[in-house]
Amino acid sequence: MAREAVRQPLSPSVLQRIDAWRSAPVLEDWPAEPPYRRTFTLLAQHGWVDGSFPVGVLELQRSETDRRTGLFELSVRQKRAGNTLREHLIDATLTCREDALATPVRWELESRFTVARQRELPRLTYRESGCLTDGRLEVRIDGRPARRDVGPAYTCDWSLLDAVGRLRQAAMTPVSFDVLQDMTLVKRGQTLTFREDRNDRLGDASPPLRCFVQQGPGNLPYEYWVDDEGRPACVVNAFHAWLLDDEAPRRFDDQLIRLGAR
Amino acid sequence: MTEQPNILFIYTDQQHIDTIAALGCPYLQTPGMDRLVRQGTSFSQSYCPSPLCGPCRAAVYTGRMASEVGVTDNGARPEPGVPFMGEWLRKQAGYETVYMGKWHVPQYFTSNVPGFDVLFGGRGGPGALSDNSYTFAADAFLRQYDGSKPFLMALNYMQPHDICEWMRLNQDRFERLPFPDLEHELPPLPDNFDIPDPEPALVRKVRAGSPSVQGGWDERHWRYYRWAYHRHVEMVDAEIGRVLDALDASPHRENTLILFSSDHGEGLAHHQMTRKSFLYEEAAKVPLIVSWPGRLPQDVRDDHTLVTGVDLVPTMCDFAGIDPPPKARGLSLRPLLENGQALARTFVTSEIADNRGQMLRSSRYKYIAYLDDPTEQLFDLKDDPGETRNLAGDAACASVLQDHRDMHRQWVGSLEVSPRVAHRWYESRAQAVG
Repeated sequence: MAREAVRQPLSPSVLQRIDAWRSAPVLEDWPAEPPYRRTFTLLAQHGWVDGSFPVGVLELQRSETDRRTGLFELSVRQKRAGNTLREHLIDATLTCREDALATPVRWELESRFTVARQRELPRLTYRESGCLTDGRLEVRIDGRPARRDVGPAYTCDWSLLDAVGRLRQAAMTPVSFDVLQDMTLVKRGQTLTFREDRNDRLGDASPPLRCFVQQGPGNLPYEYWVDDEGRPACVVNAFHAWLLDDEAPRRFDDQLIRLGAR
Repeated sequence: MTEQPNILFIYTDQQHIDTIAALGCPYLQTPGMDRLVRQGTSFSQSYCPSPLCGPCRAAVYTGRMASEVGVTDNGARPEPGVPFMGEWLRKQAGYETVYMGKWHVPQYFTSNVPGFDVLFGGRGGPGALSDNSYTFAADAFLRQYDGSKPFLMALNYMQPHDICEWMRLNQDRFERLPFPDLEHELPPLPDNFDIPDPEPALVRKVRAGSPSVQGGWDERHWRYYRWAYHRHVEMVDAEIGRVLDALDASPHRENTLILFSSDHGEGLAHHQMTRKSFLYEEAAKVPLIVSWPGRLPQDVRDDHTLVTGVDLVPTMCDFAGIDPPPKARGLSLRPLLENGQALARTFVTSEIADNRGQMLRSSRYKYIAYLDDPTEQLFDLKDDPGETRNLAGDAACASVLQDHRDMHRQWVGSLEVSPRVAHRWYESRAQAVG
């Protein structure tokens, strides 16, 4: 039998319609203000109704803002599944400004690959640090200086998941910036805009979600679906979705087991 | 033995040849690939041996045609005993051979790529995020590798193949553009948007199965698809740029030969085609750039030489100082790259659809024939690079057509086709065209 195409761009309601988001979060259960811990299932969607798979997990932990410095800490743990027995893990600690973009001004990042969640694959561990000094980013990879050219307004994809929570006014002015994707890829000339014409729900009884769209060269649009309290329920980027999910780590582990990846 | 360079083979998936800004595409930004263009030789008459993932990869990684390797469709297993790139470079030249990304011969992702130590593959999802993981692995490897042996790194990105997923998710015709402010960014339709007539039945069938037909796309939808495809290319370009940064920062830059290509192209609305699995230029042509700053000429555009994916293994072997695998079909590009020495070749070929469709490209013309289909195609690519006028029925081109049939017949006769591949070309063509 021919597989059925989804035919429509992903959104919270489309994800639920195709049964890709079976347990939509009760947003009230998640703290809207820091400190918070948010976990997301990273879903891959092949464009088939039966073609949704968890392929990763993202865990963010945010501290309260230090009133003296105006900075906060954002801890990141990201896992992606690879071919048999392999996982790609990124651990990062960011120090961010409490500004509109949650600008990361310092970070330490380690990327590594493991087999069977234990043995670290040799020669593949990557470490970088970054620091904003006198208006310039100073980045070091394995201790050696590296270039990372961004404009004065910049952020990273993980910071944006925090920042969109503070961009909930319907009349917001579009924000322009550069993005450090996974801290390592520079995507310049991005904008973040509120989409007044678009909202969606996580079921009939839930409050409406508002949509902010990030667009720019080098990316398909990212859509951040946020509730009135600033909690991001999900992010859609064409065929990927980050779904707020307190079971995300377990769901990812289950998926790896199901696929025989361990 | 000559000094053996490291070899970095960067392979994208489903990249239309005209999607590099430095080579004239105005619809995207590709600073990563632009660097390769500036630092190497770019071939504009570059063809894939088969415009479908599995067969093409089987051919490129062996230097033989897919029908010879026995992989004429996705999912087919290669004939045992045919040496693959990694095996040959490892055994014959002592290379450290590492692999990232998609394989698809036949498994999509596997740790068992012949002759390679697979560092990281995907996990069945769309490719954008997997590509980023490959880059992290490649970046770390390049910076840390001790150089005790020359390395061959095969970096097989998934993008821009995700356009297939995108199309299924954007199949239904829309009333208004999903992102209205993109309206002014949408590229125009291509000049050869119209469908050539007559056209083989299999090509019509491929088109009919496209999301564009299923969804009844209008002009704006086609243009939105073209816009989205260029973003897919930009995504993989960013990964490539980061790998080049890592190579520049490593101790291996001066001794690393880079070959950049793609398995097959993308319809991109030309002839109202999407995706691949046909033999028009958009699917059959692929980017090919060879770069070794300081050792090979830089910023060279070769618009004449006919090259094909099966040339890659012989080229790598030549630079590694070893003979190519036995029965390899391709030619080494090294004499051309180093001294401008012309290749001893009058045509290149490509095959598709379980060996039912074949293409022969000569210096000026392109001949396409399908098994059990009397509709042949002949295009004059000098006067009609968009393949809009099929000359196969033009009496004035009868001798050109016959010459190409003859070349094709000789070519097919020279192939040592796998016994698993239906090989009825002579008989069926004889019946069909008389």
